[in-house]
Amino acid sequence: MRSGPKKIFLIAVVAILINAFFWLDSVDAYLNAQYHVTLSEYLPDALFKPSLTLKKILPKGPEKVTAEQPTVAPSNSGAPGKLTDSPSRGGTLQTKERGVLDAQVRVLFAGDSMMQGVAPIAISSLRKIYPDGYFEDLSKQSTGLTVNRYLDWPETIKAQIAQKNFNTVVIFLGPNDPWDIVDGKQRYKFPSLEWENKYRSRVKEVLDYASAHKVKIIWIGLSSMRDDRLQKGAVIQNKVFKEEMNSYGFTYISTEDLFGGLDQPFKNYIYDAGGKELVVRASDGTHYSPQGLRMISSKLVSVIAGSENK
Amino acid sequence: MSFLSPEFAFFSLFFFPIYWALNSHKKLQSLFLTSISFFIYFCFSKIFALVLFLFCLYIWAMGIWIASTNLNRKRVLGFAVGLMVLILVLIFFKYFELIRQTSLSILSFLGLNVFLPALDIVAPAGISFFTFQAITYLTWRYRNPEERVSVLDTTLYLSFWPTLFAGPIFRAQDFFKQLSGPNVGLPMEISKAIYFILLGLLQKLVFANWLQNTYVDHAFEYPDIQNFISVFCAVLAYSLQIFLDFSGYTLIVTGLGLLLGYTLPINFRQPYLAINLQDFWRRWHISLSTFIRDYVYIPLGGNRKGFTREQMNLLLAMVLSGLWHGASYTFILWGFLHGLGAVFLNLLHRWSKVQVPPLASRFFTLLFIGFAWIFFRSSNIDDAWILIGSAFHFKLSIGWNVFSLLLFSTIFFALSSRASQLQTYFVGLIEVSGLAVLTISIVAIAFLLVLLGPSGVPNFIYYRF
Repeated sequence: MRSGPKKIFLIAVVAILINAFFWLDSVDAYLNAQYHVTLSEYLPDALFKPSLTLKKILPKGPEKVTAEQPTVAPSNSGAPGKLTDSPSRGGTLQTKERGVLDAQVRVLFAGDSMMQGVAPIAISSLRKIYPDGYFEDLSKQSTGLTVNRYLDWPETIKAQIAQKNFNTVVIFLGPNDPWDIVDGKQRYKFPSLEWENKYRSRVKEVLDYASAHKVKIIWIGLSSMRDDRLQKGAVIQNKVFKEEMNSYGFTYISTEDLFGGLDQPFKNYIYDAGGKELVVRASDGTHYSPQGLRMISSKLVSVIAGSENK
Repeated sequence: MSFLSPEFAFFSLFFFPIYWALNSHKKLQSLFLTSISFFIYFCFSKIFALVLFLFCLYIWAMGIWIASTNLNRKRVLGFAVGLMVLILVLIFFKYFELIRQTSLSILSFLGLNVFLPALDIVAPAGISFFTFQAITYLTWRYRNPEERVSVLDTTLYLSFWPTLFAGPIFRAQDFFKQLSGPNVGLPMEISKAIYFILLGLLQKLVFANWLQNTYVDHAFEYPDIQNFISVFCAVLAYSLQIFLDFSGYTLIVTGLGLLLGYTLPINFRQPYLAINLQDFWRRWHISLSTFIRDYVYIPLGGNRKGFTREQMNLLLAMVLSGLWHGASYTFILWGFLHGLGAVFLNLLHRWSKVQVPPLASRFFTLLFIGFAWIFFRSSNIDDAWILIGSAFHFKLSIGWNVFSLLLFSTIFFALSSRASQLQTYFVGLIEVSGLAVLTISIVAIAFLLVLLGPSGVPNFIYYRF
């Protein structure tokens, strides 16, 4: 190599390695979420100390503005840029007729990229039904219950309920989860009964807290997936979600009813009433088309509004 | 493997030294670069790496057909077949569902109950870009049959990783001219490359991400609850975000290209300083707009067949430019609006002597571009209209975030007008810095980029197209 390449190579090596060292915990969390490998299993703890110290003292980068936290005040959502602490009672609708939610409708939407598609549509519809309601979408892509280092959903949901007095939490997640769960030094292989039990315990962590605080949970089940691993995961996950929601007396929304059962091969379309094919899944074989998102959202809204319970 | 990911950073520590070390064996270096391009593509999708490989073979074979015959009729036939297949492949992968749904709606409106099957199609990443590059390749082969191009060089060209996913559209004649030149294979203009990469990362990781998270996503996801101020902020912020995102991407890959010894085409020239729409398209996504000009607008007749025909050609070229971005009516409408705007200006220019002062002209151009971005960014046309409707809800509550955005915009526009001086200054500064100072500075800048950037690896907007 001539001096030019040597110089740029040296700069790159130093810059990348020093930054990897100072951000080692973040790199580990990223690799953990992305590839389900944990550097901390192989590297000595001492190497992580500088990055963990920096994490404590340095401010976090900007986070995404959520549904009810606009930085620029929207027109009809309560106090600008603040939570609606005391939403006015007795909105346009009579609560008892509206089903699972009462007049102080406070709904948290939690989940991964599946929820990122559904929440905006559902919230827009819900705002029309509950103008004084409070809705927050905390969904974040590439998250789930398997990897909790990047984002610990049970802890986040518990904290959100405690801080903002939500009375309903809607959860829709799963495709990032069919991987080994690493908890401390313990590894739970996917798929296995041990994995299922561990996964179940994380679901129950949310449900226990919600039950104790009289918060309603609505859990949206997964649809069939093109990828074999995700499909295998969806079967186990839906079983867990459904069983636990039933045992706690919460509401489980099956997307299999909308798009076909998990025992069927993946199909990106369904037939509408006129017998025409309607594309409901996205081309990646995991997510949904706008039509599919509208269908899930409409079912969710109807469950919240109680029309199915009438 | 995104160019912003830790994997890519570590990967580059191995890739670049090996690549440079192979410089004395040009064929081996090309083979290595091609293999790495396929490896990166393979990381996105295994099956599409194979599709891309077959695509490269097909284009190379068509190039041979076009160039190997002296008979003009056969060359035209080869060129036409090659082009037709390319366009059909692009339509099939990218536009099948839009065509199916539109056809069903039209047929149903006409009372015809026809069955058109839905297909489970996934478009290969970057298909719009490498298809357009392939079109320039076939055209170049058609015009220059005497050129000899190996299957390896053709495959390298079409799979060249810096431009594979989101351009800029690297024309065949420019690529092969550089490939046969002396500079390829070793880093060139290192200071400029460093400047481009750092500026691109700053634009994307810090600014575009901040604008998206603070002003844009919320407004476009919940268009019904916005007001005048929030719509204004969202539109202004998205205008800046899409520029900072896409030009940031282009800067990064241009810097990486320089490290490989290639000069990628210029894609942006401060587009928001444009004095009218024509000027904007000479500054925005230049590699696409010049492609549309040379491969659509001029072959349609350009301005050579009378004023009316010129306007029709312009409108059609702009609609196609919109459609190129994706199979959605929002993109079509965005392109149509730009076409309509350009036609309107042509009519004004023809029938009126009104001279708008440059500052006002810039302002109105920016206003129009911002308005058109609403359709580009919205999930669907209904949402776009809802957002526009929300802008008529006047509620003047101006918080710190509005001031932040206005301050950022002011700085952005002030720096935009001095972009080339700033580039000269910083490149010069890098040039004269000693190794130790430069290394420490880059370590510190990289640290700040990670600190101020988002958690996770963000996607580039133009990866979708």
